[in-house]
Amino acid sequence: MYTLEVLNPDAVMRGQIESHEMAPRDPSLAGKKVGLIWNAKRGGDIALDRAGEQIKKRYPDVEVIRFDGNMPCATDLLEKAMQECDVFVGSTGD
Amino acid sequence: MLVMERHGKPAVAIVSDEFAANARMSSVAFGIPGNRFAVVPDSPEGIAPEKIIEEIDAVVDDIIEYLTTVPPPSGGSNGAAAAVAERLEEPPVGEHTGAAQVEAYTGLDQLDAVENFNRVFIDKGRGDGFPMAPPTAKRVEEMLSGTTRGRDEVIAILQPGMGLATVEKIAINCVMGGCEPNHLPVVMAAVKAVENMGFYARSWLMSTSASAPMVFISGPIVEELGIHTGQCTLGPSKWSKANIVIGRALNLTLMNVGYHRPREMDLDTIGTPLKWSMCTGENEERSPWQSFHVDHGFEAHENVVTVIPVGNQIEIAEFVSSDPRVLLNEFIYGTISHGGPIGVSNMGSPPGDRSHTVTDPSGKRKSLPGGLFILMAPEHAELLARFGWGKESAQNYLWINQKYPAKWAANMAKWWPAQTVREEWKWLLEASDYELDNTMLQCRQSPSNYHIVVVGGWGAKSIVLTTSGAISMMEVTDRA
Repeated sequence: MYTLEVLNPDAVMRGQIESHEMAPRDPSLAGKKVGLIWNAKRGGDIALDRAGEQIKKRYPDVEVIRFDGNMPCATDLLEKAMQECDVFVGSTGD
Repeated sequence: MLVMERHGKPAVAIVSDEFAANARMSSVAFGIPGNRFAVVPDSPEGIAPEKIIEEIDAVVDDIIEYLTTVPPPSGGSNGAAAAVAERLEEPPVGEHTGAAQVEAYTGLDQLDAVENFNRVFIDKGRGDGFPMAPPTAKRVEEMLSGTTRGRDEVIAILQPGMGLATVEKIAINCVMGGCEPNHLPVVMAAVKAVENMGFYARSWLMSTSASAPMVFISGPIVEELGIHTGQCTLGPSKWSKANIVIGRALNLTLMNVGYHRPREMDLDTIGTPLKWSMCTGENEERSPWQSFHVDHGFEAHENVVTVIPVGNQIEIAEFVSSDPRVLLNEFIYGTISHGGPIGVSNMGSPPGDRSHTVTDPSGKRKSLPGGLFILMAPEHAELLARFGWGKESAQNYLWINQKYPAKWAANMAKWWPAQTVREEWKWLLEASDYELDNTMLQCRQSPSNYHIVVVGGWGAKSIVLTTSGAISMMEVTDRA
């Protein structure tokens, strides 16, 4: 029997040593402002608008605001969205 | 969406099942492994609106749950991403010092153990499908002798998985690809060149478009390393051995350090064989002009690696005329519709042309705008030079004369979402059919979108590469 020892080629991902907490959640979306972030890919706008409609059906007092972004999404648009909304739904289009 | 989470805002992305593994990997890469996704069966890009609505209705409860609850610490994987998450939790991810771990492969004899190593490595997604050389401690040690840098030094954070590119991890991948120790600094420079592309490397690496990184080498190192720049330079041959292993090592490094692995963080719809290996150098001996790197502010004695994200390759065969303009016209006609629109959309575009050299402790570097990267056959270059044409004149001629009807640009422009159409092109949306039919536009934004290098052997056949993003030049440093 022969044993071959080799070194592992896989790197450590930066995210494995610099992890971040997920944002704290409120148990309900009631009264929230929901931001929809579209990256301009085909069909993503339809998906997001539908998600917004369905969320509003369940929580009639939510306000849904769509942000039409790009790839990559402009920093100022993301900052504006974060100032205006409490939670977000995004679509990658893929 | 990850940006939102990091700023304290709950966020959920809708992703299709095929791309859930990618979303999961991106979450790990950016340090939010518990992130969850609403997974739909199909990509919205590819199905009818009614079907999109039906699929969204089925995940609305998931979206609401993920916006209102935090997953348990061990949770967070869903859909097709689970397998990737499991693999990431395997021991190979290892120590955070970047030190490599040893893995053992057994066999009835040496050959059997090597075959077993290859079988398992390829199965783990660590290989390109071809047999690899085992990265034993001894071989890696020898490889490290090619550079003055320390084995644990992190020389780059490699997209798209944000992997810590230590000198040792790059050396391991160089051994697997068949490199010699003096190739290591070239691969290190290529890795740094990819890192310098920033987000835009992420864009072409993870796009569903098939793109491959070509390593183009210029400077005295071409001769020193035996980089083949003549006949059949880009093909398989005994002369191109150094080219082949350097190109392969970069791709293996992208797979194992950058986690650019198919169906995880390499999402090509079809893929391209150019990814196995694509490396060449400037044929300085046959070039009538100064070197490419000198054109861009480097010194002639400096060694430079240029990484080009390549989309397509188009051959230009012109072996009948003795007229520079006829020759250049063939380049114009042969590539007129390639490389996408002329900047009508700003989707995925780098923010302007950063075409100046920058020197920092890791070496001299430069970013060039994408466009067409012309591998000009020596015979074509010599014809131009014989009639007094320099590279700059040829670039200007190509830019001035490569035009297409406004109608072609408008065909896509009217479908781009309004926010992605640049201000200066919005007139296309309002132009009459007459105007669109009778207006010719430049195919590219400026002469600097045409890059010319002299490559290859005998024959009047050049190759034009379309690029999938900006081009990155990096000085080769730290050679032992």
